[in-house]
Amino acid sequence: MKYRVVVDPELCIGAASCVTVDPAVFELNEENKAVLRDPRNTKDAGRPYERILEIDEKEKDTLILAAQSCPTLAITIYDEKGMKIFPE
Amino acid sequence: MAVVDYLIVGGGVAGTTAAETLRRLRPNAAITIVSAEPYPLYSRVLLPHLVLGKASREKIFLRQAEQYREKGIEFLAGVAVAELRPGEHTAVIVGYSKSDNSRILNIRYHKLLLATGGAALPLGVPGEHLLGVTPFRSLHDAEAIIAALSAMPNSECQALAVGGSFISLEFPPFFEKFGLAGGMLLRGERFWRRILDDEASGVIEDTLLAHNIRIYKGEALVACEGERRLESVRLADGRRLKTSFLGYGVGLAGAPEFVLQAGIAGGPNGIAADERLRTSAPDVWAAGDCADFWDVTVGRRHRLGNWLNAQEQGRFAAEAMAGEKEIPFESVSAYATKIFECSIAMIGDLTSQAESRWLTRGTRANGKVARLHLRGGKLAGAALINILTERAAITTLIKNRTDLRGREKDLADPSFGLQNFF
Repeated sequence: MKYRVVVDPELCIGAASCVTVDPAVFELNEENKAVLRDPRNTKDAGRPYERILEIDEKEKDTLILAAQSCPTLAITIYDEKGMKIFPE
Repeated sequence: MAVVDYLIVGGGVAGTTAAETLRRLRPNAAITIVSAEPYPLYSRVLLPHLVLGKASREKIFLRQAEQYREKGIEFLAGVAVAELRPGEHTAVIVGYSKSDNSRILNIRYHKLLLATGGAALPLGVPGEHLLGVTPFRSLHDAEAIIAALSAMPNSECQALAVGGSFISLEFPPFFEKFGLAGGMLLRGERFWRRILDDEASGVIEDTLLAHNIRIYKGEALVACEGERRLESVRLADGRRLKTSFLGYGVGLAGAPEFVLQAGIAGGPNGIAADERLRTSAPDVWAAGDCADFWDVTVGRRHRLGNWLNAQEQGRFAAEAMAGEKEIPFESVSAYATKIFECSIAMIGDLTSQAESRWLTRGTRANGKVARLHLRGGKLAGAALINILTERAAITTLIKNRTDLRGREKDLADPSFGLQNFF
């Protein structure tokens, strides 16, 4: 399934809880902000604040746990139809 | 007498995560949270942003009251546990008021989670209750700090903070924001004196000095003085520093009184729990800042006071309480913050043991220093000052338990790329 994941760099404080929970998707950039990796293409040089991820059900659960772990609610997840699935 | 399946004491991130996890696992269970603080879950991590005016009060709340109702979680805020009787599976709650005006509620539970957080350890000096002397743990503290600093004339003396770690370091940016001269009192010669060396602490000190924060090293505070309001602090050598504000962060208080009185094991380091977060009492678990748990990753009991750990332990305890967890709690702990331009991250185990070896990677002059904690030839933990790009590699070295014996020279050389270890 496809999900659009968006990090708000204004809200992100670099606590890196998302990186700890889901290192396949999140990492910190030079400014200590969370950015999105592509778990299917690790060679991809881009580290944007927004990315469409094609992931399975189990990976989705980890992604949601990572978003929930953010103490500033800086991560938003949308499903294929553009419906916001996190934060609820 | 009310009867619930799951009673959770504490409405912070550990307690709230536990309640929501239990709801997911047990759709029909009766779940009650009792919280000493009078509001729903908020982000303690955002409290510095609130004081600095970067986040509104509304923004720091992570839940609204109706979200508990929608999930069928009873949320009793502004109440306290007066007595716990683990043998009877009963808690006596005070401060509760319902239509009959009774102020006491007895709750019988099947399973109980203690997620009481960590109160600030008192300073332990005379005068610490004077107005203007404040810890920094809660929204209430944050609002008291804003009130005190905005009332302080900037012509006056300096605002002070005491303590050498995360909480006390949050104060200097507040002082700058309110246009006040500021100072920090350190009992030892360095920040995190058991973890950092002079190079690493020096980077933090240089940042503070660049923002005109004065650092008083090797100074023991012996008294806070004033009539009703703080007027000065007295140091061990008898000197007085004139001030009307003293922020402190000197550690977390021990296990709550009602827990110890119930005969549950615990002490100055929190509520004792095993590797599955079970306390010494039947059907009672502990999670988050209050839990002094047996950590299988470090082979001893300790307490972790950070957001992510509290959240993960809340989730774990809920699964264990629902009978769905038979393995030990395991996690590589991490906490990070930014003080002015200086980023500080603590990852993994940073408690020195007999066989510990510490390496310094980087220099104060370059403004970037990592302190690496090696044990048994493996990286157990790291303190990173202004090290952003290597954080992921260092975390991977800790997680993979990479054998680093004989590689100390490379580890201590910032020009040696850590990717060469993979």
